[in-house]
Amino acid sequence: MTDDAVGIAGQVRAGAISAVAVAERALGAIAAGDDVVNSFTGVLAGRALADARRVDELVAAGIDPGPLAGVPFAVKNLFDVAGEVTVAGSKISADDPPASADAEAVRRLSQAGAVLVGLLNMDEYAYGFTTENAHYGACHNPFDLTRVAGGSSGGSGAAVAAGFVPLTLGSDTNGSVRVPAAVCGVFGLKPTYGRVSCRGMLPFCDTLDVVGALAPSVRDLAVSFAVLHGYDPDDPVSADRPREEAVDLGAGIDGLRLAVADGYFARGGSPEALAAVSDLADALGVSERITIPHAREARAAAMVITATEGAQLHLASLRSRPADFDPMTRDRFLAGALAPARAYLQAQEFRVAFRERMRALLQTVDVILAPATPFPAPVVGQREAIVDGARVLTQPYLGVYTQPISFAGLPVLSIPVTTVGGLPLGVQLIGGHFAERTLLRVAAELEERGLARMASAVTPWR
Amino acid sequence: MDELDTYARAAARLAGLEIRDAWWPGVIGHLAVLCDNAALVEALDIPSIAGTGTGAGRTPAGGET
Repeated sequence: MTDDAVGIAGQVRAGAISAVAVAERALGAIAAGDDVVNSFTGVLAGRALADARRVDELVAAGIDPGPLAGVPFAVKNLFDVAGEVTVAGSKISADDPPASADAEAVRRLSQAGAVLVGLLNMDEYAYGFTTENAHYGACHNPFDLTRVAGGSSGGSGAAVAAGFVPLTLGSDTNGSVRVPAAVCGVFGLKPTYGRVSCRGMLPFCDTLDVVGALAPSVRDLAVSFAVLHGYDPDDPVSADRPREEAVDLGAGIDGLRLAVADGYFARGGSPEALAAVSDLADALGVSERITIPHAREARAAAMVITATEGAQLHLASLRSRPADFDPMTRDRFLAGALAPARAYLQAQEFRVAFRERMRALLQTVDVILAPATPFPAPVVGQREAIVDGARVLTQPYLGVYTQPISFAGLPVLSIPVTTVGGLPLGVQLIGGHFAERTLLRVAAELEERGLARMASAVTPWR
Repeated sequence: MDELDTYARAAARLAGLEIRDAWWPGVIGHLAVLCDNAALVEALDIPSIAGTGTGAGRTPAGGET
């Protein structure tokens, strides 16, 4: 596992390999392979090599650069990066001035020794599940270049799956870390709402947005989460809680109560997606089933909140430059701008009640297993799919299992568990608020047993 | 749908939005979905869901603390 972030950092800290050599290797892989994947919208070679040289200087001086020493990483292009324009997948924001400082999440990773190499493709303003971006092109799935990489953090999933970088940042409002992680066969962690600072991240929906990471291994997520989480007084919704010690990934799962989500989460998906959960449960000997109540309504309310808040954030541009939006984004934002206030307020009222109901439910179990997506990655341009004999719109339906969970602000770890026809599928591990350590512990055990592992894409550029 | 179209055009004027003719079918379609979603939420007995009586909904949205 030397190609994961922790493996690289170990070698760099030990002086076995230089951070510059690692950065050059990542930049070379991106140059060789990303013309077909299209996961990057910007490569920051100058900054990457300068940062890598600083890491090497610290190592040479006997100073520990940090737990992510020399680890090349990339971020969804809605995170501020000093000197770069935060385009957020849009044409409109491309006219903004460059950011004056790094987003807090980028700053924390860099401070831990990680080396930023580039900016990643995404759905415009994070509104989508497929990263078929009208302005910057579709991001392609490294497992099958005719298929999407999921979204809205599609570049974040594809860049890890393609082996370009072992760590990326994405944002998750309705599933935008978990969906690309699942269909790209990598691990993805969406922390509890408020757990990681969103300062310097262009918002999509303030009351749901969360910063998350994607990586090839559980230990990478554990280390990056340890670096990223913690109170930020300059983020209005940051959770004012003490930082936690690193989790013991070898602690096993004895004593933890696991259950499988039934009802809503046991229907409406392809047989393979549903079997991925039941097979995992069988392998773990988990027989308990649990019902997440009002999941359908939770997804409905999340859609109302997302459209309304997103429209409000972009109202000025909707008035002045509507033709410059991606047509798919524009129509949904315009609809959100027209929705009555009552719909939004009721959805938020329900959110509070639903969150409390989930809080109570997760006092009876520690981790709930549920599908991550209803099917593997669709073909680029595919608009519809047949599920359970019913026609569904592919793009929004990819979030059918993720939206109810983020609506409650819960932490979720998406694990890659299998491939079907060469295409990855993932399972969500859902925990109680602030129980990221428990999720990491369970995921590590599953990885150790070979029940979850990063799938291997065909990457001839490596 | 005619009622929704009438409402949407009035709401667009109120919001200062100029929506081109070619965009209206897509906008109305998405607005219809939002209305269906809102109706699902409207039908809920929200105070009973959290099991906390009528206090549900009085805390600010967001913060999980």
